Amino acid sequence: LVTFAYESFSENVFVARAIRGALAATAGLTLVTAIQLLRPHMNKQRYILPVAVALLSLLLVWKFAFPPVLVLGVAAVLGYFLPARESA
Amino acid sequence: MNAFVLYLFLLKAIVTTFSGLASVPIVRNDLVVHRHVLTDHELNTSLAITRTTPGPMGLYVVSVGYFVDGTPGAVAAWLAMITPAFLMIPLLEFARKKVEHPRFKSVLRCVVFASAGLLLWVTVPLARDAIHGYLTVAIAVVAFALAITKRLDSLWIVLGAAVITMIVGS
Repeated sequence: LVTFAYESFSENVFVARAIRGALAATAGLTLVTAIQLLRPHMNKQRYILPVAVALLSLLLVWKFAFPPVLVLGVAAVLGYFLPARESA
Repeated sequence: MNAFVLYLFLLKAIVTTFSGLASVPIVRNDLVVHRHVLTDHELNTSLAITRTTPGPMGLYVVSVGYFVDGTPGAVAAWLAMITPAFLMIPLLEFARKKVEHPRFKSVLRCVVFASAGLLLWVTVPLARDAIHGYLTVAIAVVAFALAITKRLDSLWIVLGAAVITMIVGS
């Protein structure tokens, strides 16, 4: 219903302005979501693995055009072979 | 796009990432990049709608379904969203002991880290679509800062941004 309302009222100048602001904020919040996924697994002693895996995924999908599902598969395989204490 | 095909695409995205916003990169790759049945603008709008309405973050797929195929698409997306919940019950019975295994936990953890990297990747085109001019740059930066430092609910951030641009204009 909300999506239908968005489509119906998006021609209105004021609504269009409001949507522009909401979309800009959403872009910022999407970046926050990425950081929030890593945050619970990081502290001063253990931050290398989360950051390294996230950056490796970014590199694979961006520079080498890996499909996202394949990137997740690579991460799963990596997780399987990593010693449990290192990834804790 | 056929509603059943849409259902399968969205189900794949939800199942492989354990739902939530982590499925956004897969949805974008399938529906925006390869199938061209959705635009970055519509995807970002779906995320904005989800952030301003009650319910789980994974609900954005229903808006995505609506943009792709109208009401049948929304229904297909909703079915894709609830299907894993039904699958999870027998799966948990089967995997009850395995989920506590350190190796299984390590796999899950690495998938979550990779999901974060994929979300970083998907933020770039969404920001490119949404940010035009100083005001929207400022809004994106302030939204990021507020969410990361104040832990303010995203509803208030998005509504605040909407009100500011409505008043200030472009």
